[in-house]
Amino acid sequence: MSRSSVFARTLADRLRATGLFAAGVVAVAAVYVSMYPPMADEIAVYAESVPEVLAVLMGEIADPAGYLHATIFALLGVVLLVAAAATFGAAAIAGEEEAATLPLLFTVPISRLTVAVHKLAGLAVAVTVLAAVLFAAVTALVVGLGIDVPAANIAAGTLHLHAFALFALGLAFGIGAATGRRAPSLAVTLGVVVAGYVLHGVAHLLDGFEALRWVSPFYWSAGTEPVVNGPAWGWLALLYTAAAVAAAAGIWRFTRRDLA
Amino acid sequence: MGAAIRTEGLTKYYGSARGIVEVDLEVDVGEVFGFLGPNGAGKTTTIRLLVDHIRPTSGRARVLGIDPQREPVEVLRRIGLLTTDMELYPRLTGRALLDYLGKLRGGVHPGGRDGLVERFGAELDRPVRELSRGNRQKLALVAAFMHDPELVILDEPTTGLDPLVQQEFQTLVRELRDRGRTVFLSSHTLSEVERVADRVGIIRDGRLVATERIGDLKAKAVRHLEFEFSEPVACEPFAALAGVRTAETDAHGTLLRLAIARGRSARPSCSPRDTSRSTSSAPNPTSRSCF
Repeated sequence: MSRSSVFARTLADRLRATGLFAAGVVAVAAVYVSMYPPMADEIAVYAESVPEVLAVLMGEIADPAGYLHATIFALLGVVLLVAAAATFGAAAIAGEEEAATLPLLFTVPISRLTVAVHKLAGLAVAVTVLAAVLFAAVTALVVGLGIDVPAANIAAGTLHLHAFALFALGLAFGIGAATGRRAPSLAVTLGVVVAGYVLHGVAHLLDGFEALRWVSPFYWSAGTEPVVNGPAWGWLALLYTAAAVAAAAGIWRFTRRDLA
Repeated sequence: MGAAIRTEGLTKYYGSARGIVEVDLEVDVGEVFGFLGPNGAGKTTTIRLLVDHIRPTSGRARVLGIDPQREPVEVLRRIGLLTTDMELYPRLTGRALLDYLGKLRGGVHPGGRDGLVERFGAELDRPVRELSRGNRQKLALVAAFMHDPELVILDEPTTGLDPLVQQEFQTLVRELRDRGRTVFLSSHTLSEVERVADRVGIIRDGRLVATERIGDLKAKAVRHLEFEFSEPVACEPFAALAGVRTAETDAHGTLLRLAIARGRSARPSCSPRDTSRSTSSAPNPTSRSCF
């Protein structure tokens, strides 16, 4: 009974924010997917004229799957899901600690491990719901507008995005649990994501720097263009593992340190 | 099982900053123990160590015979707790808050909770963020008592409460003691705990400096009284009265200050026209006890 309560409250506390992010996801999907059919020819012409360096970075945007990759699965979908995951993760332990409600929670017989695990589980569900909303919205529009991208490819792109968002969640949650402070948790997490994006670009554009992409979480998520080429199971496993390791390390510290 | 609370050499440093140093505390089952000291003396640090919110630098603590560091959940299951550093969830109503905390305890008897809500006049229907400090404190007290714990640990429990509710609180504490429960409450004023406590421990600068039965402490306590006369008086006759420790008059001789304690004073002193002291020491004009 006690366990489900923390889990349920975590979800209830994030219901509004999750709803807003879901609305953003649906809006992004609606705008970008429905833009494709009328503009397909122009996009193809535009793709021809793009300088080669940019074309490499954007992928095959003339191809419908490549278009979804460039606009949603490697750009705006990432922004929305990572923003949601990072803010949720930072708020989970660190946010409650800064609001001083954590000492209240620990007036009742519940262990720090239980609190942390069930908060994390609740937030992982919220992030998964956002990914599911993205998949449903994109798939519905693609099918409805007769765009030639199989649902399996959309699922692959969504899965990679989900893994990336959970990576951000695990990192933000872990740092917040370890330090009890929200600002460093958010800053480091977003810093890692942005640095990953930059590294991915540098690795693409500069000869001799290809190896940099191996250390870019952004590359793990979008580098193989999963919505075009299908899932890359190794990178997925790496993202999920990194998420679990970061969260577990933070929880380990949380169970041993002084509360703020 | 022995003591309800026992600490041995309990020490906490925050980095190099002193929390508490070598505190040996023993609270018996069935007593009301007042933990007295000025702000910053280490009361809250001690309480947070007892419930594993923070970890000791050295020394050990046992609460109901349990090591809080090893079995914090078991300690929290058997005690009621209110700390000064906690905030209630601002968006929840009082009812939702108590429901949530009750659920996390695996359910509490609703009758006990409702009785407490009524006694304290706690507000259940408004969100916590709209409540005054006193009304939040009422909810925190209900949460600390609602599962009828065998030991209650309360940090500055009457903060923000109006006098009537404070009285109700004191009545409740006495009832609990009569039923064999143990109450540990901290405060920075003796007057707040002297009505309910059997014993008090006094902490200053992180060290437990005294543990006394409340009766003995009252006997030792020095009371300050001020009298204003229409004409100048001499302080010597007052200094000679039984129980008067010091007597002093101001520059005009119309204001008389007495320090009184029970038992005979060994060396009564008298200091007329001591202007420097009368301006600088400014004893409390009420009959509040000092120590």
